[in-house]
Amino acid sequence: MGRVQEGDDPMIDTDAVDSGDREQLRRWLLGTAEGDRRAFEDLYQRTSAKLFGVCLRILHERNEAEEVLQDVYLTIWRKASQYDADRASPITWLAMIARNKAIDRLRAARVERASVPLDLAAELAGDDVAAPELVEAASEGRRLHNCLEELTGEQGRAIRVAFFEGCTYEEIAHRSGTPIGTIKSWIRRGLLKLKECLQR
Amino acid sequence: MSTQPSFDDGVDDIDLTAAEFVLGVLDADARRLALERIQRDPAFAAEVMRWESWFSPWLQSIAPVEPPASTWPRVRAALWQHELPERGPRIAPTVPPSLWNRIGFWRGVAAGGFAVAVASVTALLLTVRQVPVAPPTTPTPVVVAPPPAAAPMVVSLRHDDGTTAYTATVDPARGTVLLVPVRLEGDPTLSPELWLIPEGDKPHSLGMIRRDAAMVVNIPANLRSAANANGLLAISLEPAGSQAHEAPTGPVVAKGNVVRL
Repeated sequence: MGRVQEGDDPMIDTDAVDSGDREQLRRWLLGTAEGDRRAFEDLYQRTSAKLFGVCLRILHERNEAEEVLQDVYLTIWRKASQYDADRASPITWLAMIARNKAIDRLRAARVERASVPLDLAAELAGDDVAAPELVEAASEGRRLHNCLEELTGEQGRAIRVAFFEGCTYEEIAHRSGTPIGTIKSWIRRGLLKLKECLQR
Repeated sequence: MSTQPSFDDGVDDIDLTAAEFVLGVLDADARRLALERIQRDPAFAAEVMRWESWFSPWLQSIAPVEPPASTWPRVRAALWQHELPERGPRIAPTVPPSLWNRIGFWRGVAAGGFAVAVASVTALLLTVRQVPVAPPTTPTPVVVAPPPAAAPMVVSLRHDDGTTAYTATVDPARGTVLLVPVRLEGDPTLSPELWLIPEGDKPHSLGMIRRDAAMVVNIPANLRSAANANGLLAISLEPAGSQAHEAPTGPVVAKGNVVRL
């Protein structure tokens, strides 16, 4: 499944594209912060499919995801001035707003998914995360991927499930039929190891 | 292996709230507290941003999906409906750029070059329904489906030289494949056809697919269990305008492993 081959460096050609896109997004965000509606609309047109995908991934439900997406862009309009280009890439900042709103919605909605079983043993570690076609993700993606390899299988899988499902410890424990102490232990130890590796 | 839920070695005393917040495992109350802390504790806020950037490759691995065309007008109305049209600059109505352009924005520049593999295979003819992903003028009907029992998986369909032709998000629970074109090599006059090849089985057509736009392909009911098992997704090039085939008649140009999650 889409494993990135070591050795082929997909970033050679994409750096220019990447920095160009980043720069464009950054300018639109800046414009939005100054109340430039045109810049905001351009930003919407360019990023809404990406952010809708992020909302849908957490919420699974198109109607819910659409409502959250509206809220996301209202937030972006209001908070664009808080974006700090030195500290985050524009798309990470935007996508995190979408993800956080989607998770907030999930928490507020009282989880009807609680009964859906989650097969932790069956969740694959994220070997598709560094797919080379993904803009600006490749080198960071490889780093995340490599650091995840240092975790045990359970730790890596639990972290991945948590991220992509947006589940609480309790929900993962319930849905996977695993004691919550075990889930917490896997995830917290995994996060510690991950941190140690990622900040190397 | 750390399978023991141990509470006595100090791991529980270490503050991992920033990481847990970004990972999304905090419950509603703990999330609210974390959000408040972001506002008043710069060191904590910086730690959150660090984790956000570390996990951003996962965010970026999520396939874009065109939102309904109605979303932008609603955003605009929510922000500015109280204003009279005469006041301030009006926003010219704009046609959203084609999905292709948007998808194109998110893909990197794939390395060129073709490689073509030929598969000789036979298969059953299957009926396929294909639904384009939310074209700008048609709000997509809500697909009512049970929540997924198995998480969707992303599969890159690659040419033999490793470049990606499509990314496919297989959702076994809903029985759908979301296909997003990246760059399909090969004779541009031919049309791509998608195949599901369960382990130890022959190829089953999932129908003709588009080169230029994302689309959702429904997996026929009799193949859904196969989509939830190990197998292969493959793309062959077929004569333009043809219907789903029993077996690939042209070269298989890209493929990717579906691994049971």
